[in-house]
Amino acid sequence: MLLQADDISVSFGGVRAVSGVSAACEAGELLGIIGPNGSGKTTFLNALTGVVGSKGTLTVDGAEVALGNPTRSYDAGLLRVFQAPQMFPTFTVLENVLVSSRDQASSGFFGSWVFRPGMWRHERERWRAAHAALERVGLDDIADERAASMPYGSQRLIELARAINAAPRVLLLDEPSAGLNDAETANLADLISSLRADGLGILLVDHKIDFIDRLCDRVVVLELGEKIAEGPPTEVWADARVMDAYLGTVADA
Amino acid sequence: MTVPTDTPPAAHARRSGRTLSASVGNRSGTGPPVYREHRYLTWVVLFAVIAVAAPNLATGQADQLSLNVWLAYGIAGVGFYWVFGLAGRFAFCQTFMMAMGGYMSAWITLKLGPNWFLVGVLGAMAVTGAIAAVIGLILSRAQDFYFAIGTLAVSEVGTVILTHTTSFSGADGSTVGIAAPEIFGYAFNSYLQMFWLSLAVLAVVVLFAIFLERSPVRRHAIAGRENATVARSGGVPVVKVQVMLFAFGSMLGGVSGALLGSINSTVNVNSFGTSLAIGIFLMLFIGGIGSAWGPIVGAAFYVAIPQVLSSLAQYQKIVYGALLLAVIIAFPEGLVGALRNLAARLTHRRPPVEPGATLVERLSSVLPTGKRRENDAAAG
Amino acid sequence: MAKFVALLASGVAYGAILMLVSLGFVVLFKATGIVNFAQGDLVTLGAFVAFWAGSSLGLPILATYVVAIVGLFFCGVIIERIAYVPLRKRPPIVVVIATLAVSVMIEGLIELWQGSSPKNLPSPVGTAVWHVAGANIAMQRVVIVIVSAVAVTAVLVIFKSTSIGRQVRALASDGETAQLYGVRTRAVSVGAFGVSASLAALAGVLVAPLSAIDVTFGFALMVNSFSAVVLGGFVSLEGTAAAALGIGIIQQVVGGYFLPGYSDTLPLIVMFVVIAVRPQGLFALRSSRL
Repeated sequence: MLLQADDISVSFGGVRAVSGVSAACEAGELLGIIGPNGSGKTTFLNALTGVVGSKGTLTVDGAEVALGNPTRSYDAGLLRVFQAPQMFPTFTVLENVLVSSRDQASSGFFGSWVFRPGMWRHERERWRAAHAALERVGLDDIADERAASMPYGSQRLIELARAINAAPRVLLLDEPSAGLNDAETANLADLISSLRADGLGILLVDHKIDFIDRLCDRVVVLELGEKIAEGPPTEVWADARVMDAYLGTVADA
Repeated sequence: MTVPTDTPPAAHARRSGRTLSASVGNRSGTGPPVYREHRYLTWVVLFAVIAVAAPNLATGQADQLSLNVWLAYGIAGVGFYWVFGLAGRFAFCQTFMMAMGGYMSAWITLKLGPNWFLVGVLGAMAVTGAIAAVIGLILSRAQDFYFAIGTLAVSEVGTVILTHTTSFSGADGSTVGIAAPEIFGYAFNSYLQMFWLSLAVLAVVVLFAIFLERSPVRRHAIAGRENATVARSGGVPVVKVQVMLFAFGSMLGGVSGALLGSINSTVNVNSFGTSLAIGIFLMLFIGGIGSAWGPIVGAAFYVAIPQVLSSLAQYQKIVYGALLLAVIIAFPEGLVGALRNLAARLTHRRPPVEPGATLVERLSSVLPTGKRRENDAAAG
Repeated sequence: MAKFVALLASGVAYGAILMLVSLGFVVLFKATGIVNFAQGDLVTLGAFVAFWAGSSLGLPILATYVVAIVGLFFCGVIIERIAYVPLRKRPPIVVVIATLAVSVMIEGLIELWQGSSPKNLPSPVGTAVWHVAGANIAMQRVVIVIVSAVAVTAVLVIFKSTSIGRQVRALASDGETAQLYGVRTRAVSVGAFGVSASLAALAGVLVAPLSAIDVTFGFALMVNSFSAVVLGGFVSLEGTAAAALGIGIIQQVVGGYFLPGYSDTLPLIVMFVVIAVRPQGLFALRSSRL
């Protein structure tokens, strides 16, 4: 099992946003996480990547990962794509991808002041890897543009490139298809499939039902912070509790 | 060898196994473009110009004193740039670090002799660096506004402690009679000789600042400052970079204080009070928050104001206040930023990539709220 | 015992002053989102206006206080006009730095106006002293505590129970929605600047008779009141008031017994520890936008 999250709980003040949710993901498996708004999907991802504190255990590749610490999650190979694309405003597209470089050798003050040749060597390597990540998502031609002025769809892909650049074991994608048109969504689906084929585990939070159906091997359904169903997509849609949970939102959608 | 986008999934899996391997793109020839400009031309030219022009322009004692003070303030300003400009943490304690450095260096040279000046400066750096590292670590989790007033507390408390530890800081918190520094037997007796020393120190400081700008540290610092949550999620060691920049920036304050002590032959904590603290902000804001050159330009302005005002000294505070106001409102990019934009426009190039980083927006992140700002990214 | 009582009295009185300053600070922040770095210098200005009214206009003491408090109310309104209104479209930080600039300018103006030598303000109760438990407590301190208690209670009550208070609270939590519901933002912000300045003036005239005042005493007072503001997390008025009182007492009592000479630093040390241990303040809501 590549990723095993057991009994994850997150509370804010008195509110339990996530309540004892467990999920597991194999290498090369695509696990969908769905649920109505407010069900705690994003909070669950936040918990796994250490953005919020949480209780429970997280194991990646057999080794336990401390919760509540973004660096630990990064070290374990958990990389996250956020719900709204987070571009660093003053960076180019390439620099936005560079920040997540896995090879941090000679990237500190010593490399900057004392041993610059070593720093350049690793830096060239980091640039190469970042360009490769951009190429993977098909955006290498805009590498030197200002990321903040790129269209929304491109920004989503830049975020994905940033995650890929960090040589992830598990990708956590938070509504990656939101705001994309049909062509962009199809492109994204292909990209995610090819990443899965590379042996990554992928957790995918999304609302688009056909997107989930198409890509996911299994689906976990959350409602009000609790897991109410789990299984292959077809089973899950047939589950009465899931229909109940969604009935309210279906009417609004 | 580019990655073929229509390779069947099996081939991908065979090649890369568990983790995703970055394939070699045909872009391996292009290295980091900015960094390939291993030219330090600007640095050489500017310092050569100052070295030649300044002694000719500043003929009187008063002018030469001002030159030295300008250089020393410039060093402290570069330090403040590292702390606030780069790392994004507004620290009120730079003037305290200057005082601390001044006292430390003075204490060492008074005890051991003026030819131990270099050791004195090292001592100043060691003590300010250590204090800043500890404070930086303690306050590392604090929001920017609380970091600001936390360092204000450090500055005020530290000042009181200094005035009380008279064995270190001298009677009345005033160390007097600091002899001219000597390095390997050469005594820097006159203001002009001190000028060369101060200029050399500033040149080295700016060189180190340029090294930082042309390194991943700059990227990490800016990422941590603009969006700490996302930066941390991407593996950037945000706390480490911020604490180290704070420590090194404070060390520069210490060096500045040591130089000022030698220039003025005295160190008194009152000369490093709130007025100078506001002055340091002014230097960075006037000169421009986006580069290490900014505070050096700003320091020139700050030192020049009392000269210009001379008979109107009583209006000094009002002028400082009005200037601060004017700069914030009208010149968000400072003089250096404005010059850069002008140069870019004249040569029909695109202005440098810092439009989002105007002073106003940068300071905006320092404001307190009742809510944690960190979760904005995760909230989406 | 006598020493303890004397120190306690000093502490309560100092805490009362800190309450006035920190409340003025927080009320303004809640109403406008502005951190007013000129608050301390408004305290100084209030005291100097009272001094001027007494020495140049020859007014009786209580009249000088009225002049100071009313005068500073209008000062607050003026600052609102010249610093806040023209910069309304700019991010709040511009206004905050503007207040820092204004504070520097106020100090310069006071120096120009009255000179920089320390001044003495007479106390309305003269040098009367209250003998309690063997200690001599300056009546002025008693006056401070009583007046502050009244003022602080009034502020808290107004905030909690009146329509104005509700409007301010509505503005503080969600400005746009509040405006949609008819909350008069301009009136509230003018009022907030004015009231906050008056509270500063009140603090100034209350504390000035205790010792000679110089141009910077208000700023120092404000810095110490930051501790109370931090403890209250910029959110809770009652928390801020309680914290201010506590800090005043700690400063005088702990400082008097254990660390004389360093007592001025105690509020700041407390604040530093609070920031280090609980960066979001003791009373702040730990909210998340997730």
